Amino acid sequence: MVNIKYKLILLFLTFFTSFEASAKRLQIRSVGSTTVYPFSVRVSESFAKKYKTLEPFVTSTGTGQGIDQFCGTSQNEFSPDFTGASRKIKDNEIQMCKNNKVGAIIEVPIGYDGIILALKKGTKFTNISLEELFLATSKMIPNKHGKLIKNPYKKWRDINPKLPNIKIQILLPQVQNGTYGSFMKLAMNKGCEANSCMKKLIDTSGKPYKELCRTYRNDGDHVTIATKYDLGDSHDLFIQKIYDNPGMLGVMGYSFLKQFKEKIDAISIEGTPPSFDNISSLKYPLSRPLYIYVRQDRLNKVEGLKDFIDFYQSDEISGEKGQLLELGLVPFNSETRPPI
Amino acid sequence: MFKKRFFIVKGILILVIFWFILSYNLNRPRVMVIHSYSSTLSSVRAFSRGFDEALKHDKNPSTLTYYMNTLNRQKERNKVGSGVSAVGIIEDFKPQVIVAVGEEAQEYVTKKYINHPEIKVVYAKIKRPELYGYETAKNITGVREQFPLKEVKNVLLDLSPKKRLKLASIGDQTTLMSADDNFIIEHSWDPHVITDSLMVKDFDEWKKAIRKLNKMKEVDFILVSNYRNIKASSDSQKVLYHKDVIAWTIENSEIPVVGLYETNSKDGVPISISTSSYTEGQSTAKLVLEIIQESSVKTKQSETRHFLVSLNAKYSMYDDLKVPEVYKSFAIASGLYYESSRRNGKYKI
Repeated sequence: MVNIKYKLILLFLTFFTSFEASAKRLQIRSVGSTTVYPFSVRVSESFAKKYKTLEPFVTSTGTGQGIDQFCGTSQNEFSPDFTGASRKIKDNEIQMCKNNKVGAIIEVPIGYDGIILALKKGTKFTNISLEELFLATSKMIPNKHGKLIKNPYKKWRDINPKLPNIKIQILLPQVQNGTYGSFMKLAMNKGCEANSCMKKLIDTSGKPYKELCRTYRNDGDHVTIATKYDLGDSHDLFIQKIYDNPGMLGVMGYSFLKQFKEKIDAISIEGTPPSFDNISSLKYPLSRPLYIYVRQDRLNKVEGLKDFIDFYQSDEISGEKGQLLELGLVPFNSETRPPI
Repeated sequence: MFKKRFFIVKGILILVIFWFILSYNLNRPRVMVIHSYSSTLSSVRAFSRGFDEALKHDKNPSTLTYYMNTLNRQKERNKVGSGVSAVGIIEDFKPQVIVAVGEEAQEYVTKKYINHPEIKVVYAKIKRPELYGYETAKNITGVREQFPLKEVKNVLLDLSPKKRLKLASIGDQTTLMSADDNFIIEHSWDPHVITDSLMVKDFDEWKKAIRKLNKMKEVDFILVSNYRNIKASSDSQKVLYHKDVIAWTIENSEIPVVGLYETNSKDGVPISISTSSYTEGQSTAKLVLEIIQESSVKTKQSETRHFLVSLNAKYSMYDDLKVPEVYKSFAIASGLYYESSRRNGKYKI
């Protein structure tokens, strides 16, 4: 009798779980950072092969727009299950998720990336300080009396005679791009603070950094913002622009240096080149962690999502000898890996 | 004397006629039509037919048509090149109005003409004009393409005895498909439900998806729209012939397949419920004429609501699919009933 009862329960459970399985959505959907995109595509391809399941559908939207779609107002069962981010999610974005009843979000750090200043291979331009970068990029800079003036610099040599005699041309990613945000935070803020006059102004005026340090110049073509079309999924046109304009510095993720090593080089920042070791040890000043953010409620609603997230973090993928290494992701080691 | 006078009068007459023809042609409004695809596609031809017929008017605009042929130009740089050529022709032809048909024509050409002081743009056959920054542009209007999903819901109820249907959609990973996917997942399908909207890169993935739907889901219909960019396999760059994708699907899917474009049935999809490209062409021409008459954009956007039902003889393969006679008669009368879609009588997988 007990045995029959047990069998009935088992039968019920089997039926219930198979019904549950069939009710799950079949394909994982993701959006997010253009920097994280190539990593997620590789993980998706390997995941589909290994688990004999459908390859997740990964699109590249930029970090900001990705989080907007992930947590925005138009939520339905097909909204993205995870989003890639080249920066940490902001407080107001977490609030947006709460407001739109997205539920708990899991933050998964996947590795380090360095923001590089790429230029055409062979160009004689090897090093720059963050202060010099700020002085070349900012709309307003201090004059020798400490008063803010419109940026007068046309060539790098105007800033520092040791820098090359070439026109200042900097290509930034779109504003919605996580790389843009990280560049502003890591390069422009630090460069701004490194300038004693600006530091004084920040300390005394109490004006926000954004106003003082993060406004890029719009006089001529010294600073250009790339279009969505330039960035595309693969950065092809972005790289081509740098290649076609010797001396132009393009701001992008370290992974692209690996992918396009025949065409571009990267200059050192404060004497530190963007190498694997320098990024993983955080010696390179523009190192940053990359993340994916996952909706917890989807773990039970989308087939394979939990396995996919585990797979993303596995040694096989993002470990010290993992597959993402060849794409330029700098893996965490046991000491640097942040908690999930 | 008389002969000399006759020659002078004849000469003046010829000059007057020549001047009249020249000034007439110079004053004719110029319209440049840019199609994303080639003229071999039946939907492009249907659009052009509707457009040309509706554009016949006393102002008789002079039109020039350019086909970007982007379906055969998969690489980004080729699409960019095609867009650059189109822009070159625009600069020479100096049209008052550009008609951009399909996604690529917007992405690679007309996006550059947002708020242009002299050129007006009319878009057609795109679902999300906001993707191109058109919503605030003062010189841009167009016909927003919509899947007739309300009509799809009703027609599906005619095809099945069930009152509440489970639907899934499948397509390639193009921007075109992303727009379609967006449309499908955001539509209110009540009382039906969409269980999955799958977008795959290659044929192995496509087959896997169809088999999974066969095995795991109690889906009543599979919706298809774009499948022209399915690679032969994960390690191949070769795009599979689209009719082969459909031929395999029809033979292996236990679930009836329904198309959302009128070309789908020509490819072998048993039944397709779509907007009419012909009426889209007509609506687009009306906007062009309005711009020519008013010299500015008055109507911000229009939509077409007409729908078509196309049939492929393969629909009879499905025992459970009850296609009402009226649809068959309508499809035959509209030239949208297709007997076969196989290449040379046989398809290869």
